Amino acid sequence: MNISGILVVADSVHIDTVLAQLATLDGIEVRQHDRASGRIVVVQEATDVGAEIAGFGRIRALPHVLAADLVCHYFGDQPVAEPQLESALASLAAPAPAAPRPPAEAFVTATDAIRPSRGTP
Amino acid sequence: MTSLTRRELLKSSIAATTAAAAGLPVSQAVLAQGAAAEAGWKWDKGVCRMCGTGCGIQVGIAGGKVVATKGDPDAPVNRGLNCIKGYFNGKMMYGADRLTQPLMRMKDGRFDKNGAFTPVSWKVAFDEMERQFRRHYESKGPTGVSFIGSGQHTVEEGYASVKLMKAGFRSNTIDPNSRLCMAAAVAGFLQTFGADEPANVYDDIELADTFVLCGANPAEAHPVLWSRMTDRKLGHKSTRIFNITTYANMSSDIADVDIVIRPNGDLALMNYLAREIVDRGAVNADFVAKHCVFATGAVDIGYGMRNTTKFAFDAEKDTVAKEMVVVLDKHEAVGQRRQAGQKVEQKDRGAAGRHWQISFDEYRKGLAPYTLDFVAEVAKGDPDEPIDAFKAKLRALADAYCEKSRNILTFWTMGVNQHQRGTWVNNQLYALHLLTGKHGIPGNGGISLTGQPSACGTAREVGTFAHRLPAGMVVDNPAHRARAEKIWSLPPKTLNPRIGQDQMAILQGLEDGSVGFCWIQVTNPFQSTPNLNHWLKAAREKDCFIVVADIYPTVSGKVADLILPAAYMLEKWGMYGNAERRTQAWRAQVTPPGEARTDLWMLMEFSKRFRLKDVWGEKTVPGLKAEGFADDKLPDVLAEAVKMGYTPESTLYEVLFARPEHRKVAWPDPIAKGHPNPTVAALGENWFPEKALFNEYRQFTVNFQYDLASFDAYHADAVRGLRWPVIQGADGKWQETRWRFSEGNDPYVKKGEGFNFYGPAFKAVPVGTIDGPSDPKPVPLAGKAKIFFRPYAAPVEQPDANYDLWLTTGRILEHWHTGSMTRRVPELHRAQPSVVMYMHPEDAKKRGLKRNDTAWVESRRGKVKILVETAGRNRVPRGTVSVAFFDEAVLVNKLVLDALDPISREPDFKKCACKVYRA
Repeated sequence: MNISGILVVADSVHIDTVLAQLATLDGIEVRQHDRASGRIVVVQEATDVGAEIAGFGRIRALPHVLAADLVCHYFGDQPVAEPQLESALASLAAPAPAAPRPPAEAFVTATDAIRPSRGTP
Repeated sequence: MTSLTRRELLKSSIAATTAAAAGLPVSQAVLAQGAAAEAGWKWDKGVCRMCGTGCGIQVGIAGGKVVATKGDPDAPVNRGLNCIKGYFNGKMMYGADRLTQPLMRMKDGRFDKNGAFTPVSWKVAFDEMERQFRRHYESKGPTGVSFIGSGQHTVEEGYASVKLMKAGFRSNTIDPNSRLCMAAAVAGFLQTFGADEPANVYDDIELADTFVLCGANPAEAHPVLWSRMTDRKLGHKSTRIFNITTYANMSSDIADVDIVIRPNGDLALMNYLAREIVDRGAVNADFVAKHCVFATGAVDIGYGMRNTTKFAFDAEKDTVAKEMVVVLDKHEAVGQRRQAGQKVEQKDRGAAGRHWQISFDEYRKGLAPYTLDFVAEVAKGDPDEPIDAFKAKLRALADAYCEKSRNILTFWTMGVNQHQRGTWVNNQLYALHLLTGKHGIPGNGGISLTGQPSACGTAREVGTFAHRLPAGMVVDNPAHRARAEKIWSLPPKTLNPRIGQDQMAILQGLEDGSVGFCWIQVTNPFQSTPNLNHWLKAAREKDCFIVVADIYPTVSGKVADLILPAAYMLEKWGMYGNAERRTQAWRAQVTPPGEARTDLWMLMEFSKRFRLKDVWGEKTVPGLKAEGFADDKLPDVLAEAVKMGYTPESTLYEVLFARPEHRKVAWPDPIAKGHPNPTVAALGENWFPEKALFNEYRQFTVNFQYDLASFDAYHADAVRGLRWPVIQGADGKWQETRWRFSEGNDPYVKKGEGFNFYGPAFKAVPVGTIDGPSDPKPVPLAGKAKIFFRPYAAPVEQPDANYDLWLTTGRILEHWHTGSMTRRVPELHRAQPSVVMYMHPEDAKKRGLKRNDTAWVESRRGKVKILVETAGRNRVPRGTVSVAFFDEAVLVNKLVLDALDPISREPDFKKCACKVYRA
């Protein structure tokens, strides 16, 4: 049994979308959230390391998720030996969006909107 | 309690911890559930095993095993967060193929270099190690034996290794893997400030308005620091992030401006920025006048390669030949104010670090050619980016540095350090901050980010390098040697004044036969060094004996002669020092499995086999030339040793480690609070080696600009590390230092001084012009920092008709370095290697390749088969491919060239030429 505590930071404007998407993921429970800051407390259960990492990857890849940080890790009942650790970790790579970048002149006068890190589903 | 209920309680506990880290409220009921789930657990503080960020963790123990870990909510560095590598700190040690017994190559019951690995006892292992060590030590002297250590060594282990090699065996042929990552940064610090390590701290992140990343991909490599930067951006709307890189990467996703440069384009870019600062009147004249001087240095310094093609593969001879003579290309000609096509002898190869003071006018002269047009032409890295768009980005970056009220931090790591002119780029980055007076003050500064968890705390501060002694001292300074000999109670002239072979020279020594014995701890050089085919061959075919101590089998283990099972971080007491000078400590939590032993125990146990008569008699050191020493010789110091109370039969264990004053440091110790000490248990003694050795090491640092606190201070439950210099106040409280070199922050800066760059290295240099010194006499510049002019120089190997692509290598988020901890050695048949080669889709198409095809990538030095990736986290420009080095099935370092930054001897992993074709 692997249980992870994951802190998800959503673009607060889209927090309902993120909450709804999290609800559809296997092994995920949303325990708490804060609208103002976009912070969501998630607990994930997984049978092995591969599932743990795949789950974390799925969360990170959701649209409007700005960041997902791991906070704690329980693995006490796990039998020893995780040969799949490496391929599971390597599979975490998600294709990055080809978001167009504003021209550099605009930098100085740009509005203060922050682009989300993973824009496209 | 049913397992279902227990699971629910555990989940509550974890939810509560996560909420707390988020700063969200947690109900009492949930807290109570959490407490019930963790009944019988003990939590203790620890430090992450992985990168130089130095996050604090809490380790949960139950039943003698680690059952959980979490980010430490009280750690100022990470405030309860982890990244995916740190997340596995607890699990890392429980892999199936954990080494638990010494393994030696045997045939017919005896060591045989061509034998199969066979489990042996520690006694048999050390017997052979001793035999082989003596064989090479006696025939070749102290330069014929070597030790490769690590920025992942604990402070105490690194200290023991330095003492054993330098004080015991009188050998300076000890060097850490940090040579491969931070040496150029260190040289940059020493030349610019006279002292190593950053003036700034992580606190500056929450005070800055702008982050400039240069050759750093913190989204992958320093994720928790990246979280802090992105948090700052989310909370402080005017924050801007610039990313200077050779390919778009995960850090690009959040950056506002992504500047894709050509390899070595950074040299030109920095000069453009400096030129803009000067031309726009953004220089802080007062700060510069009071606290800085201008400088420049030798230009024709070669590329750190051997001055012979004798060992080169045929295909690499053309690159190696450039070591002696370079034909300038048109950009070098402009940047160096010379002629295109000019043949330049690399006459300063032997004195690459030579530098001198110049006037401001001479500095401007050097910068003059670096106009926007010239720099854009040299530095633009993406052939598909319109030049005007690129120029606009450079202007925007210049705007950021020139804006007076903007708090600006520049961060850099391997793109800058693993660079043929890495020291130069380090100098140039500081120049931007020194010109504007924005360094070492809140929210402003140039911050060299360290990659490994203790490259600072161990390798750099303890001095586990070929030229070093603890606390910034060097072996070729007689006063430094005398100080070390005093603290170590050694007869005068015990220590070897000749700088030893560094990591790359050790490997070359294995190849050319000058080095016969090599002991490696906590690192994997036969995967992580460049031009690997040379060293892999040497390890197996030459008459050398290689010992590798590690926790899992690695490539280095596989080519070694003897593998020793080591203890993991949580199975020993230790300290690490992170990238912001924070020394942090942890207790052993659990005991190592099987016969695995701490690295410290190995060093001390091995030392028992040698007596003073073996090591302190006269020794031959070829090339040794120092005052008071006969040429090529270390003198016999046994007579003086006897006067000091030793005998020729005294063992190195008694002389270096189990000294009477160290034996007085008792075990058990109240600070242990019931935690085990596997080093003590294996030694069968009743003294506390980690504490005793730390106490001795600390003597080097106090009142010497490196002040560390006491052992107990770091282990105190409420402490989350302390940033040195740490001074104890009259009230007994330990006062750490945030901003160095400034009044009111740094205890070494006096009232009224404002700033004092008091580091002592290179603080007297000649004066001259942009072209050279005018008078050889060194002129003192105590207390000042140097603003360096450094010219553009082209990479020694560039794409051509045959090898038509740039190859760059690096790391990814999920795998730490060579993956020895974050992945297992493949014991199953693998359908595909896990590492991929990031390639532009058009480059792939041109070669008849598409995503997920297998291709050969080949350079002059070797080739590997690899999976093609045309999408994914790294978006390379046309003409570049990028590969990570964690996969032992795809040893990309076989392709990488061993050109070095000649000043620091750090390899350039970031730019060589390759070709790609279908497999």
